[in-house]
Amino acid sequence: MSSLSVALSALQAHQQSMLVTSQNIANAGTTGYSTQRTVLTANVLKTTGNTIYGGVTATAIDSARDSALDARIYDATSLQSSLDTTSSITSDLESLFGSIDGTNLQTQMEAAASAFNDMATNPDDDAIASAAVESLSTLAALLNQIADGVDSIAASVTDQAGSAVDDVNQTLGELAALNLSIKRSGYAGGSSNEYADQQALLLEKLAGYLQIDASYQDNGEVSVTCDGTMLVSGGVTQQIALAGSSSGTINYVLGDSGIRLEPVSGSMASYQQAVNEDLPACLEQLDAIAVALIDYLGTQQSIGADGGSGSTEMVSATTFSSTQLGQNIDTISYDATHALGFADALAPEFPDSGSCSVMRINAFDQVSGLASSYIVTYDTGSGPIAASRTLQDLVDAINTGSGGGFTLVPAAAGSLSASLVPSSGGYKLVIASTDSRSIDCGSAIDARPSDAAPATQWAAGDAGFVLSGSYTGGASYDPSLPMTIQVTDAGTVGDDTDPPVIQVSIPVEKGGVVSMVTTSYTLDSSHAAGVPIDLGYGMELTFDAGSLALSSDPLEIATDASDDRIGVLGALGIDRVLVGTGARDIQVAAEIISDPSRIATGSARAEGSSDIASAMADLVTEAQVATSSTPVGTAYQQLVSRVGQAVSDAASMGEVQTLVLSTLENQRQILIGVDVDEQMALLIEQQQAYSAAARVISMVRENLTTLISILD
Amino acid sequence: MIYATSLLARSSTAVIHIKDAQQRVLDAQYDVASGTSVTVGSDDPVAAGQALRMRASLSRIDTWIANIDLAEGRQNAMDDSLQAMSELFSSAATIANQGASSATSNSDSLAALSSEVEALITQLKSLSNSEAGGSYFFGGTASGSPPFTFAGDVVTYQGTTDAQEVAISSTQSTEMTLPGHSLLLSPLNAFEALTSLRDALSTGDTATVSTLMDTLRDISTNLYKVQTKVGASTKSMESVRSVLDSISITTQTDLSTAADTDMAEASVRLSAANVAYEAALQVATKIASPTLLDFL
Repeated sequence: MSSLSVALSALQAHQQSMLVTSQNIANAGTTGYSTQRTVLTANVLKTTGNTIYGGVTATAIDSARDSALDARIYDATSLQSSLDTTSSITSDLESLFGSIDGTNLQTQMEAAASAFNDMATNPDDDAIASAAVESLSTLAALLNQIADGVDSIAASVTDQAGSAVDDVNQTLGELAALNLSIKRSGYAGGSSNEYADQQALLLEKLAGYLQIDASYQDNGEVSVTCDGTMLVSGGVTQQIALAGSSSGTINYVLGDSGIRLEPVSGSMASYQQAVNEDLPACLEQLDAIAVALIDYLGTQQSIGADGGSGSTEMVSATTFSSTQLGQNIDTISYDATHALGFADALAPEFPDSGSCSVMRINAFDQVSGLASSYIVTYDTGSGPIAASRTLQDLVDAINTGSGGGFTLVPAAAGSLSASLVPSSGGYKLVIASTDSRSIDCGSAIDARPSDAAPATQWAAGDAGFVLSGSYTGGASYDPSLPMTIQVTDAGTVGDDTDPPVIQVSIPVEKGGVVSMVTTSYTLDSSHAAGVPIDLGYGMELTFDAGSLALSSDPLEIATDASDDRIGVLGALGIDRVLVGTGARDIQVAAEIISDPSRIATGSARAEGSSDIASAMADLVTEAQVATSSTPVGTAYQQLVSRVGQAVSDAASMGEVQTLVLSTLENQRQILIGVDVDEQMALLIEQQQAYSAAARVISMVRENLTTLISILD
Repeated sequence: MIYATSLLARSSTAVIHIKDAQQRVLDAQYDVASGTSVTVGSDDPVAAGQALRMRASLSRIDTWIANIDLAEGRQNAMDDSLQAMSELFSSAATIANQGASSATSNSDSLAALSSEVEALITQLKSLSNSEAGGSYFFGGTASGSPPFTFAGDVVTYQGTTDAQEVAISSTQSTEMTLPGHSLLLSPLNAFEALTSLRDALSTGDTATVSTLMDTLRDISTNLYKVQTKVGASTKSMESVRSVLDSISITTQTDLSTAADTDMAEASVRLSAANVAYEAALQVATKIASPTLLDFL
């Protein structure tokens, strides 16, 4: 009977072995399945009285899984996923820049520069001005499109981060449920190998989202931590939530606690890196390029003189809230919504000591060619930032002569007006001529006392003159030292026998000190009517035919080296070619679109003056990003190279990581993979063992039969 | 290296190899078909930056060369006008010489000479408003309308005192127009000199005619000097164009080196990638067999 029981134990053990082998073969193609092996233990062969014990018992079903190797695979998976995600996002970003050898921002900037070059050679051709505006519009639209694309990628990545969080929370729940199943399986004395396989699959899935540390209890339950925070313990999970901010950044927080989870690898880490750092950095650079273009073209426009079809009013492109109307102008700063306020790089900078000129406003009569120049000066008052210098103050100064530290020199009552006009979302500043003259903010000097409206210092009937050019005699303006012209000897212009003599005094700055330089000119045939007199410092004086009488007082003419010394025009968006606060909203100014000829082509009002258009044609190399003094062309090249490098780095590191992961996976497959050949060999072995055991039983049966027949 | 022999390991390895081989074929195909190896920054970040910079440089060179073409045409036409003016005043000086000569100083011959000068005045009026394609050469920056207007003998200059310039390199510019005031009105008034000569000849004032001879020669010399200056500017532009052409060729060569496909290398790469891809596909078909099952 003992042999029979030994053989029976062998039958049972090998049957179980064949069952396990069959399970292995059945799961040869099941992802995550680990090969199982039946552990056979020989029973101790011993005799107790007439009873003999022995045989074999299937004591366990082992799995070949190696938790240390699994942990390395989880780490590698996190890194791989992180690199894949970064590569995908940066590739999307790179695609926004277009092809290197096709149309891109660089080629569009070159196209705009070329259009301005055409304007420089044909400054009075409206069709060419329209073409330049069209080219600028395309450039602005391309910047808008790229910025929108970056925003769109950020929104998409944020959505993906949200989906990832949902998936992670579900996976954590499944792991917790599995822990409970493993615990119950242990109570029931069953095998938990299949649960362990499912557990490994879930952990690997989790590792794709964020780096994890897994620790196992003796019964196979797993605890999962990330960034030192417990996510799964037994049947309990810590849920993760995606938290956004008004600035568009995203963070992962634990439940309702608000405690941040900072994954360092995995796709969730890459999503956060992209939305919070990489994409904003790209947008910041695009904004810097846009602002540099706005500022550069605006600066050129503001020093140009609009001798063509100038408007009688200028409207600020920037819209101000009612609150901002009462704020100090240089404290109204850029806000994240880009809805109101100045771009940082365009914000004005007021000096806090001494007086300075703020901006120039010219009123120009296109019929007579007469122009008046008004300068807004600023005085801080007795203490640092004593003056309020609000927009309302600026309006008051233009309308009444002074306000909040601003003063209009000379007073322009009846010639200029300023107002804050309600507009969508706030107010716009409007500066207008009240006597139908066109206004501009150029530095061209045109002053011509006419017979019809002589200045008080110029006698009626005196020959008129035109003062033209751009004053270059200094970098500061002192209202107490205006340029003066005085007749010191009466006579007839161009007459060698009785020429008049004039004395011209020009304020000239040297070493920070402004002093007057006085020169006398005899208006004989060498300075006849219509012949320009070179006064130096960028100015020319041309007299009409006629006579000049002695004047007791000199004629005062305002001069100023700068049209917009502290950047008020740029901040207010007045007399700009391009307006906006960055790449998202850069656009050609509405008044330029409606009348392209308003683009200033020259710094003098003379027909065909084209030096400003020539300067605008240098926008690619001369418009510089404020923070780095890098030309916009170079800044764009750097941006393309940097994003390209990020894509390339992520791709090449991803290739290396793929190899690492592939090697680890190979190691794992060697360990746990189902080798069908091996299993078939095992099956044969087990079948033979089973047959042998059955043969033993058969032999015992024959022995018993023989024994029984003897007894009969 | 020992490879896993499980079914899953073999199939996943095969898929990885097929995908990798497929990508290499696509990369090589694109390089050969497009002729460029740098299309986006990630293809070669350094080369991409260089390519953008070189394309920008070529764009600027094209603009300058176009400006040179434009200015060259204007200056050649200006040169012709100045040549004609210079010759006109040489003729006027010859007429003055004839008028001042006692041998020809009878009233009929002087009247005939006066008529010749009148014809020269008409010619000068036309030359002073020389234009090409609606662009007037001697109005300074105001090139869109005739710079000189005439009411009898009264001449009014409506142009400006500055020449219109155009950039021909990053540091150089050249003149496309000249200010007619300094050319024909100041310091020597060319129109006044001719009208004075005409009047002096018609009234037989040979003394004045003699006086005007030097003025006319000075005007002719001045015009010749300006013509020489314009010629020198044109010559200088040719040098600049030569340099720009040279830089353009060098830049295009550098651009090609940085961004264009090396066809020989890419073709070999494509061929090798195709072979690898086909091999990977064939290997994949062998994954499931043979196993021990085939022999039982």
